[in-house]
Amino acid sequence: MVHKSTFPGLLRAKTPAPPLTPIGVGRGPADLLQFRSERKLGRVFFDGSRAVMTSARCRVRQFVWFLLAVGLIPATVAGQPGDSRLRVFGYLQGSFYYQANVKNSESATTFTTQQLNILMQKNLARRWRGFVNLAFTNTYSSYRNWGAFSIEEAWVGYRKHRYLNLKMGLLIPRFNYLNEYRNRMPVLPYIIRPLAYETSFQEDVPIEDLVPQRAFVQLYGSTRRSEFEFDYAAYAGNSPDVNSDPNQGNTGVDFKTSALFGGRIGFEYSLLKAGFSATHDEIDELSGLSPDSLTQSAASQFEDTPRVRLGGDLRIEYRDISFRAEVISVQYDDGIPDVNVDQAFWYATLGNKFFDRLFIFGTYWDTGINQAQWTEDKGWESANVKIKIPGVGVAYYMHDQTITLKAGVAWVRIDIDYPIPYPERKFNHYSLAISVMF
Amino acid sequence: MRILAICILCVLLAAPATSAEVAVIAHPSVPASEISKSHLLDIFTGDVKEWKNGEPVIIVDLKPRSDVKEAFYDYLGKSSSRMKSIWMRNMLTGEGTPPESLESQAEILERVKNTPGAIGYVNRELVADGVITLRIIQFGESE
Repeated sequence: MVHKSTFPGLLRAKTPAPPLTPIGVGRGPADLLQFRSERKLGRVFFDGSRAVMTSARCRVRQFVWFLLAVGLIPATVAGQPGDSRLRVFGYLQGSFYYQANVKNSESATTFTTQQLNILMQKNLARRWRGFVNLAFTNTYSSYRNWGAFSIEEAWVGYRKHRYLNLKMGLLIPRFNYLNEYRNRMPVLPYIIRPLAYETSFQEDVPIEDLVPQRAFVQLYGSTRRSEFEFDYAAYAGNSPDVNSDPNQGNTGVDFKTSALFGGRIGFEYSLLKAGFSATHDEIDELSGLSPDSLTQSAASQFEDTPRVRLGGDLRIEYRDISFRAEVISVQYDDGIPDVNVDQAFWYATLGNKFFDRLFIFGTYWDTGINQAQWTEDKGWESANVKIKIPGVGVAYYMHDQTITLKAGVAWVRIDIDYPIPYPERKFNHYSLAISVMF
Repeated sequence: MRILAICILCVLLAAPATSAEVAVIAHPSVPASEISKSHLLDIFTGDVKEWKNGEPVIIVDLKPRSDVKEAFYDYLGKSSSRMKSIWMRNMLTGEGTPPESLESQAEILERVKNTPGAIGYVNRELVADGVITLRIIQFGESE
């Protein structure tokens, strides 16, 4: 039986978490957080020749130069032949947290470089561009085994028109409103993001189950008729069962024949913006996470389990008042009546901007995670974890929004419905942060 | 009486020369003689990046806050800070580059005049030869 703390770190409880394997936790390559910067909107430019290269051969050459520039050569190398500029910029968010125990939890304080992102962008040709997003989270240090580093995005984009764009390579797919922006901290008022998007808690909350983390090709675009705007995105990527076992070799490779397919359609009219998102993939998760707790036959029942994510997002803006809400439902078609491992999440945020600089908001997050586990003596057992977090926050934008001061308070309550009574946990979370673009 | 008249004249002359209209100007290479509000919004939000002839759109923005800037973005239905957020979002997702922000309307006029594909906005009174006017916006106009 696998014993895994359900909410370690800042969410750690005094008492151990129930002996259930949180489905979806810790799967796949680690994800990360990001920051970027710019000077006057954060840019450092490296001028290159402005010659126009139109032939396919030149495009290939440009792309090779781009790869060399972003991958092998320090970014201080000046422009490449045929290119306009290589833009290197980024952002970071440094934070301070104080967690105050209220019930069955722990008090703690910590400073952290919550997120640091380095971005590189280059226009490769008239319609082609490349983009790389490197993310470091939680005061990353390989020497100390702190945090994580990840290539969040590395794609080449082709733009035919506003209604036809293509991204190829590692990318963050569109799912609801926030997924694509989840790690762009300077444009978010949050210190701790709504939990489904909080990559610094990815070891605690199964964010890889709740929202798609990556895809490898995305077609997207939009069109406008007067005040009505319609947008769409469709993408494909790996199934979640990517090999991370070095003993098998070829880590990072998906050996399954299934794939991730997903998309979003949205519209904007006047004050209202809304969208609907969905993904489909197949997952072996449970058998991979708790082999000790499962018989071979029980484990095999979860191979190639279809998983569907459904999402909806809504935004209403009236003058300086804004309201955003999202709902996510993750459903597993495992075909086992006694097992429910579905997950759900929703949040709503109401805020008001004052003097174009100060944004004050109230928010509420609700997460529901079902878990199941097989044991020889008891058969299937299930648990339900509910995390409810009301909170308030403030963001103060300075210097053309390149610096943002943030503060927040969240009242966290975690209820675990498990066959063995498990104490409710409560704590308050106070946080301060500075988000900087460079 | 004469002193009073001189004082009034001085006050009037010292007051900033404000026109009640904002002109959307572009380089003469731009293949348009007028522009709709929705097209203007598409351009300034980065949704449209090329003119009809394939020439890249170069947006020139006014950096300091001013009546002209506020009137222009009010007309588009977005505050200037909201537009800044949109540009930052585009930049951070690799979708675009924020427009160049210049310190004065005179600089905008000069930059638009000398940059093929450029578009910007200035007080109508400042419009001079070398640029084309695509739209006139009344202060307080939202449609």
